[in-house]
Amino acid sequence: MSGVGGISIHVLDARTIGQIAAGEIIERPVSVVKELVENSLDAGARRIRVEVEGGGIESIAVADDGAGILPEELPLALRRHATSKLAEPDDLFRIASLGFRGEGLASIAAVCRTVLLSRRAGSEIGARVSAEGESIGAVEPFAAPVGTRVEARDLFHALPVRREYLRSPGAEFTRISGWLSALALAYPEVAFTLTHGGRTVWSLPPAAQPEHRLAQLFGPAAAARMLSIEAEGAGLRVRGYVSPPSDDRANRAAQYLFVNRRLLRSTQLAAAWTQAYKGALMTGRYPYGAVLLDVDPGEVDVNVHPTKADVRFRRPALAFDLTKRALSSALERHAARQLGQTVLSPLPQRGLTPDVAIIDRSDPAAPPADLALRLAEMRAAAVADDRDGARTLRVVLQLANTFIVASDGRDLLVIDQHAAHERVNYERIAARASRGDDPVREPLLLPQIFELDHGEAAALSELLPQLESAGFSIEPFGERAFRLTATPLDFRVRAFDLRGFLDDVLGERAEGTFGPQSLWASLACKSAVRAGEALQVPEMEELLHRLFACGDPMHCAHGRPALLRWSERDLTHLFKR
Amino acid sequence: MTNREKQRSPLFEQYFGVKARYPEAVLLMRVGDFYEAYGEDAETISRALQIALTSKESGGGERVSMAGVPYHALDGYLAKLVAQRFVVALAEQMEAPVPNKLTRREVVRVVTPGTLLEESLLPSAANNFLACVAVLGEALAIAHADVSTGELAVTAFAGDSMQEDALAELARLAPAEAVLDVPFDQREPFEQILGQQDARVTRPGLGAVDGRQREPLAGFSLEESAAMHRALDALYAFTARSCLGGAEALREPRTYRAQTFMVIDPASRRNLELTKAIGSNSKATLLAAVDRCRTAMGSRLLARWLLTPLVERERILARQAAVAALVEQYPRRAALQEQLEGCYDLERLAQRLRVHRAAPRDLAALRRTLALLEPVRACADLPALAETVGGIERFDDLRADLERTLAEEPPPNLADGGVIRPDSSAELAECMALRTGARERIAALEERERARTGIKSLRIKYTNAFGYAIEIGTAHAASAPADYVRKQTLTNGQRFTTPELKELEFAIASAHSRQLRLEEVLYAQLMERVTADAERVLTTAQALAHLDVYASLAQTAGERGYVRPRIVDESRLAIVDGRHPVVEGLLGDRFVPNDLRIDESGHRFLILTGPNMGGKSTFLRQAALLTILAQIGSYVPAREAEIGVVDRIFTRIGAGDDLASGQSTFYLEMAEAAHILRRCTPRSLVVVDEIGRGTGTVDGLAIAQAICEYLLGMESETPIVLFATHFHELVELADEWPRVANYHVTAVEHPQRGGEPVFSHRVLPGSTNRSFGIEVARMAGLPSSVVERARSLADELLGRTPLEQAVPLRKNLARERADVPRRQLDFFQ
Repeated sequence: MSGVGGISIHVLDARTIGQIAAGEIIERPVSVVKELVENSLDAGARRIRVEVEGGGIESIAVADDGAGILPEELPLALRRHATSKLAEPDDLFRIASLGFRGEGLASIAAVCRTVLLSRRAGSEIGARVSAEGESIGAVEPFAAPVGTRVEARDLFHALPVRREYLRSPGAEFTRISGWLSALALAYPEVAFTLTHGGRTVWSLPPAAQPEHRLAQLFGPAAAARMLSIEAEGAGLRVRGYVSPPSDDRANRAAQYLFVNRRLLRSTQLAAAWTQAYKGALMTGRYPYGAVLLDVDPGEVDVNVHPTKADVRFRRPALAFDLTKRALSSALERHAARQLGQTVLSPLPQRGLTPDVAIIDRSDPAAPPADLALRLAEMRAAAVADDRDGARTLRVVLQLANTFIVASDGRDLLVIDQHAAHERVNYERIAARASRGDDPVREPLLLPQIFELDHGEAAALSELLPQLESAGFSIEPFGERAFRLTATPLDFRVRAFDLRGFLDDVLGERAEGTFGPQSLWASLACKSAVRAGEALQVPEMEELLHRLFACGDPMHCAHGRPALLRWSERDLTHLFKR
Repeated sequence: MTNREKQRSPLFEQYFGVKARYPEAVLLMRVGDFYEAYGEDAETISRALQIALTSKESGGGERVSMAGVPYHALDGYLAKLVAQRFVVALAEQMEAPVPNKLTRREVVRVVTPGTLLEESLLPSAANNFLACVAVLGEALAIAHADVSTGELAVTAFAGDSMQEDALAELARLAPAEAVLDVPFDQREPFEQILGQQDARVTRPGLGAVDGRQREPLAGFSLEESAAMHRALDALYAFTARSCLGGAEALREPRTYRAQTFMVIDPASRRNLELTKAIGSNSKATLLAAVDRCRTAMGSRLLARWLLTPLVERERILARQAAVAALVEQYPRRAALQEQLEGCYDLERLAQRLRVHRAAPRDLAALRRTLALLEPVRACADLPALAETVGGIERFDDLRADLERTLAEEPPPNLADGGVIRPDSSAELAECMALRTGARERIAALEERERARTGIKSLRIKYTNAFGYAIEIGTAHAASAPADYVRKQTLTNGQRFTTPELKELEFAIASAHSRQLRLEEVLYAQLMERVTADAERVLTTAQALAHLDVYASLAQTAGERGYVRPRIVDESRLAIVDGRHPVVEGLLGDRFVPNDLRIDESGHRFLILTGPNMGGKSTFLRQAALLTILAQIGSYVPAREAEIGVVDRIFTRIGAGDDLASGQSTFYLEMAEAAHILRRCTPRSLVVVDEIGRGTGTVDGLAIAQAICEYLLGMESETPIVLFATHFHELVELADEWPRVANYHVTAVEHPQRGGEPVFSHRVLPGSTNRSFGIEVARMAGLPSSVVERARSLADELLGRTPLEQAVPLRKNLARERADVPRRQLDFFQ
């Protein structure tokens, strides 16, 4: 009898079994933190402190003020499938605690050098036990506050291959911090502290009200804008806080889902979230927040994944519907509130006549929030990158010398002339720069001489080489004085706003956000046609033609919308036909 | 001698003439681009600053030592001199130098340790006090000022304990400099305590004190008032001599009684490490443990609070309410702190305004901070903070004036130009226009010269060092017109100038100097405008400092899991799961909490026994620190806490033995004990960590027991006492005195390592006679033969002469103390 390559089959030794099982649960440092913190929460902790060294690869310690473990039970706690959380076999199907398999500590002990220190209320002194692999040391008395502290050092010390899969300490720490701060959303009453290399990275006091935890994690301003959601039915309850459509992010990373306060990535519930916001946000932008689902433990199976990252609902459609309903109704309430404030009704009620300011954007610098919001309210579908449509575009009129109203016979389009032109300029500058072409300069007939204050003059002196390579010839011309003798040729020089451009560039520099892109964006913006400038129809047609040739015709270089579109279907819906 | 002096050149005459008026100072005199010192002072500064010592012909063939520092580097050198506790007089040129004429020079500032204004010379998060002590008849007064903030306060003492109280107050203030107007025979203790704090001590100048009769100060006796006036006069005279001005340089004096605060004697303050650490870790202080202030104003205020906890319950509760409001309103606290982060040290800025030493950038910082006041007010809009927020003044007009007049980013010095916004004055705008016009003509000239010479590469360039020049490449340099004057040769060209270009350059320069003169006038007007608001800026600064401290205490409370203590009128301490705020910070969550229960009528004398390393000292200090935190209005590190207001904290803790003073440890220990027995009140907290160790065992035990019996004999006057001791015999006091409770720190024997103690760091009722001394000695690595021998000796000793026999307990000692005077508890009534 021989197995592969002539090696005989044998029963694996305990150490190997332990490592294999652990491998499913402990993938990286954050898994250690997860198992330990969940244990702490199950023990009723009100304060949890996580101390990390070297990204958690060197060491992780989790200390809590929970119930603690009796000295005689310490070695048992380290043994596989030992748990205090399930008493009867049937309990497995009614799991209320976060842990239940009795694998967490054992798995950690299998791959780390582990020390467990604990004291129960009423015990005079704490007790300590250390473990490495399958060998568990003797229990010894040790000073300790009530609660438990687990230290896990040298992750995967015996498994160098697994170690290689780990990222840098900084990256591993980021995962720990991200996971722990997300978990904290579901436990506002618990204080969390995270340290790295002895330094406190963040510390969350217990939140007097659940919303305060949001403020701790998203910042007071963003938290104040968030919408509260709430729905209940058929043994399920949804609660949480989500961003309004005016706030969004570039990815889904800050969408947190909890089922019975267990943080997980349920694709199913994520879909509910996406559907509820459909149309409210621009493509590529995502809402954020925390959605907490409380269900009867019998309604959900958490034992489907080794790291419990997903769950299975007994009635999946119910969970999905309830979540979506909670989100949708919060968004509707929000939209109604906004409507009440901004009196936005002319479009559906009064029809399209030139004297109606559909959107009054007399201030081009106004924040984009309201535009995105109106989009949301009107349930406009995001526009696909429909370049063919642009050819048949017909300019209908210029509104308030600011917006171009156009149609392709099917959809209604409103274009912000400044934003659109800025986009066109930006893409041209960026394309030229990426080709590495030298800019063509146009000497100014009359050089512009300007004097700046001390700070500005110093800042500009440093930027001269970069501006030079962008096509500006600027040279010192006196104390704090400069002379502009040439500008780049490839845009409308007549509209170029030098002072505004300098303010932009120096501002970006002061904030440390100055770079080629921001320089291009400023250039594009300051050389673009402004709001309030009257345009001829051919000019507008040319602008639209060029806009639709752009890689992203939807936004200006600063990310504000350049184009709004309503389809026939949208209008039908708006008119409630 | 006279002859030689006569031969000295006028400059030296001037220098030594000025020097004669400031004998206590090192004189630095501005000569051209340097600050120079001559003679002895030159030698002094060359040593102190590690700079070269040279000499200079002083007339009549004599040479005088000389040393100097460049004017632009003065700040750095000044800091070094100040750090070495030198007094420095700075003499400036009072007029523009004219060749062959002696420039008038005068001392404009005497920099002494107690009169620092410069941000670069000051510790940001601590006050820098100048104190004046005056003794007049049967009263003693202390005035103290922080010249950098304008704060001024004065207090007086009278009666038997006057000197002792005054010394404690001086120790609390820890001034950098003190003026002692004290009779010769009483100076020594003052000089000693000031010397320990590295303070510079001086005497009042002649004529500093005026003998006028003045109004008595409210709440003080005639004699006390007279002493207080005298102290204030001496202080004003001192600041005037520093060229800062007298009374007008400081705020109105605030009068206070030291008794309105908890008294913490100097030894206790040091031992408890409230604001300064004894050991090497400078962060191991109570201040560092709770300070999350965002401004230096806040940190200074918090440090002051920790040194002067309140004793009035109502005031404590008011502060507590402010902290609680921010604990409960996390978003507001976070937003408030975000705003405070941007606030400048307005307190010191206002003072620089008052003494006319504010720089243009100070005004820009003021403008930035004023813009934050509205957001701060909005964030702090909570009923419990209303009174504090009310102190934030409105500055709409001042802000508007600053916005209109002061440049966006002014340069560091007025002389650099560009401090005033050109558009704020028509004349200034005209200067600008003249300059711009001239520059445009230079640009036009370039065009014209290019045409005239036919040289296409001709350019007019500007460099900071050489000004405007016509630049022609080497290839065409030879064809430069005859009227071109060569200015400079470059590697690849030549630079020229022409009469016309020179003229235009001159026009720019004269417009510039006219602008500078204008700016000087406008800036002076602006300064006057701003200075008129200095007092209101200071009031605002104080309100901001308070908000900062409340937010800081709220943050600490939230992050470290502190609890709001119940402040009660009864004399009690009830702490559940109390933690030591500093040790906890160092240990993280490994600190073992303990309970403490002291009652008015029940146990109030706690005898704590148990092994070394068991945590006795930590437990004792913890009780004192929690009481202090509670009485500044802070939350405390515990699960529950009930704290009766304490009027004094006494500690007798061994660690900080003062070797420098040359007194023996035992003597100091006894002096501290004597102080405690003399001064304690029924509302005091007395913490004794071992007493009687520095002498023979029998003497030691006898003294310790006698002290206990004395304190217990005070009966209803007995303070709260926490008494840690090695003398296990003392636990028997509990049998006799119902107020005594025995507590012990516990340890268990390690099951595997025979007999080795494992300390639980827990304090539990009952006593223990196990000190584990020999086991600890073994753990520390004493040779095993020594350990074995010690063990057998111990058995022998214990078996033969129990110490109880050597020192029989006396029950009647305390009864002799019937004549103890009843202490005044005026402020509790």
